[in-house]
Amino acid sequence: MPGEEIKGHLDALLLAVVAEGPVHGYAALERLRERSGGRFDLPEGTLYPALHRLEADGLLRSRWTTVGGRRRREYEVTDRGRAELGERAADWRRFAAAVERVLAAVATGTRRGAAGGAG
Amino acid sequence: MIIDYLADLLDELRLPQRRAQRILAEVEDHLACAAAELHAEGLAAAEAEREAVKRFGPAAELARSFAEQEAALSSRRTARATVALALLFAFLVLGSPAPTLAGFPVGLLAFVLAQVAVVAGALTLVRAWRGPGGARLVLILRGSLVVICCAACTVACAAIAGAVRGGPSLGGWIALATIALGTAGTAVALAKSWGRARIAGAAKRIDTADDALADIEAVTMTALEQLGRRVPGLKRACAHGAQFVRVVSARLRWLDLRRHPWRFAVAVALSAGLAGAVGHGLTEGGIPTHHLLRALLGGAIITAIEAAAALLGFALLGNYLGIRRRTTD
Repeated sequence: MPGEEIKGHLDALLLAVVAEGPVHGYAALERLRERSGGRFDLPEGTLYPALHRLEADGLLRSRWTTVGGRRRREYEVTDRGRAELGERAADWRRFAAAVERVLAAVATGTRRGAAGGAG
Repeated sequence: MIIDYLADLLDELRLPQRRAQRILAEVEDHLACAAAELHAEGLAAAEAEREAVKRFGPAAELARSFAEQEAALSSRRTARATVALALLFAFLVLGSPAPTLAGFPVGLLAFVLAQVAVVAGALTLVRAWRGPGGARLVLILRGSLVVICCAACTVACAAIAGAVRGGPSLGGWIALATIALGTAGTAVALAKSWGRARIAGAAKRIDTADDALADIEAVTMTALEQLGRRVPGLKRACAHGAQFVRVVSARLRWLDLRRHPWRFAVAVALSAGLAGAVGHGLTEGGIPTHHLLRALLGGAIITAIEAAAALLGFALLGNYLGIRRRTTD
């Protein structure tokens, strides 16, 4: 369930895609889908409460633009949002590295076990 | 199809008009983009709109998310107003160099209620900082209500006593008017927040595993972690601080609020009582050595009154303010 998978990481992922450059909601979703190779295909309506929450927290700001006669809300990351993104990315890398080390030990153990069984 | 969806969403959104209009415009743009892309991929126009709406999710669910968010934002605003009111109230009653609400019984009542307001205000601040998710939203609103009631009760009693007995000084009346204004403003903010919480269905959500101690621990840990990140020079000290908090919470099991709430309450009440007696002694010019017995007796009376007030407050408001869990395990 991709929607469930990114629960708890959605804010960081949105900050990351918006940090690439000013973007409206639909395009942010497209970027998220592309960067994740189609894995993060969340229910589209869940995007807007998250964007609004990030804006209320001062991590994003937004303004109206007009494209093809249609009003469009464009989001960009604030300085605070950029700092927050840096912290979250660093946290995630530390976490992922720790998980990787644990799983690598399991993989090594499995190989050793397989080698022992064969010998 | 998109028009129907937007009409449904408009019906479901119970938000301030400006916010609802912004959401509708964003959703309309999103659905139009999605439908155009699906149409370009080969779907018929009507089918593309239907698919775009399906992928977007039910209007009621989206409206509920926004209602919850609005309730959380509103409760944060109320929490800020509440903390400001509690500080103002406490300063005018407890901290002002020339107390404006003195004398018996109004002075004593204001003295006790200001302390209740400080505790409720501090809990509201901690919970708002931690984030008004889940049951904390209700506890923030309850904390706010308690602060408002304490301030309003003091103002009403002082005004009645003033009218009957000739009234406080001009400074006293100004202090009362300031508290009354702050109370009215906070009450308006609280009424709005409670309305938002009802709409979001969060007004009755009080089942929480957290008590006040869990909130305070979480906020202390977050504060130390953030301080350590922002000031690299303090990183080690903050890590030691966090470790110290963990060790202290583990060592003080015999005083654990969760396992022994009344033991905890008695300890806090006695500490508050002693602090009150010492504070009174210091403001009166220290211990009079030639009237030591009288001073000790006075200190004991103040300690007893303060401790009794703290215990009474815990009994009456402990559950309501979420200081302790409703059920013990």
